[in-house]
Amino acid sequence: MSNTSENPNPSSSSAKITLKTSDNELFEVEEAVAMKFCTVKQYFEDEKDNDVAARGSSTVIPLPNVHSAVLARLISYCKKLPQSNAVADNHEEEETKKKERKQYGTPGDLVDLISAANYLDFKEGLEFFNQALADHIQNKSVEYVRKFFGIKGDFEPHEEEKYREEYAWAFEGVDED
Amino acid sequence: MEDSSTANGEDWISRLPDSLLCHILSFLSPKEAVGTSILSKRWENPWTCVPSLYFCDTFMTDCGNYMNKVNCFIDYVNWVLAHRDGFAIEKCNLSCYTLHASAHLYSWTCAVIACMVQELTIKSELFRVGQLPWCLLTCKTLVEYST
Repeated sequence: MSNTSENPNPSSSSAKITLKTSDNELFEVEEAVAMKFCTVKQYFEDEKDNDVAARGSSTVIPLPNVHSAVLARLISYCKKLPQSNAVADNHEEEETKKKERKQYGTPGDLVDLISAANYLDFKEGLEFFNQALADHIQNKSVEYVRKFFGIKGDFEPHEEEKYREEYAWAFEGVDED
Repeated sequence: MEDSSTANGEDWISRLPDSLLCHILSFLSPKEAVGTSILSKRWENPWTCVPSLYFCDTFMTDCGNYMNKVNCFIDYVNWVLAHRDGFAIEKCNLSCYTLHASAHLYSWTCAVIACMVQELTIKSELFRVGQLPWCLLTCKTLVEYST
């Protein structure tokens, strides 16, 4: 995975960018962190073109679709990105990464993080949080996944039975818990 | 312990758009992705649109005798490709080690190319490159091809 947010101008690496969330909280973040969010980067560059950025950190970038609680978690994830984004090359590392992914809470929390990462076009985050959700589906029974995510099975019994027969092979060897 | 972190009855994940559900499903094996189709009507189709498809006729382990297994696999690949509805495929791996599945490689390759595949890998000892469709050579989206 390539790091696409190198700062073209190292001397300005300590520059701050202010982000404003849906609940009107202001976040002052380092430019290098903010540039991980492609939506912010795009906005920032457009502003630059308009010469508004000449005012420096006084530029406030509004993020009407992101709540402060979610943004705070995304920023903290972003800050420890270099080490957590290393490619897992053995089983042990994969387990460590899996544990790390587990720390991000309930399905509701993860869905909030995914929606925000998607809106911000934050690729590494999207990859990480989507995989964190996938971890809860991997090798689990239909009943477990439904219960865990609160999904209501709305197939008619005969429809579900038909699928179960058709895809019988897909339901073999899964954990029941 | 796991119960404390469940969704408390609120179904958040099903509200995600198809593109994100597909991305989530792309971390699973095809077998697991197919398994999600039974969760609810919302989940019936997203698995057919995952960007990467990996088909291997030997992953179908315990479902009856040889012919059952192979037919099961053939039906599955046909089903996925038929429901793709032109949705672009980024990566596709077709690994066929059985004679009966290999016989379908020609039509599957055509179908995959129609889905504008970018990376295609075909593994089969029973199939020769010369037996593959001509459209493979003129496919505009194909970037990488290996056998």
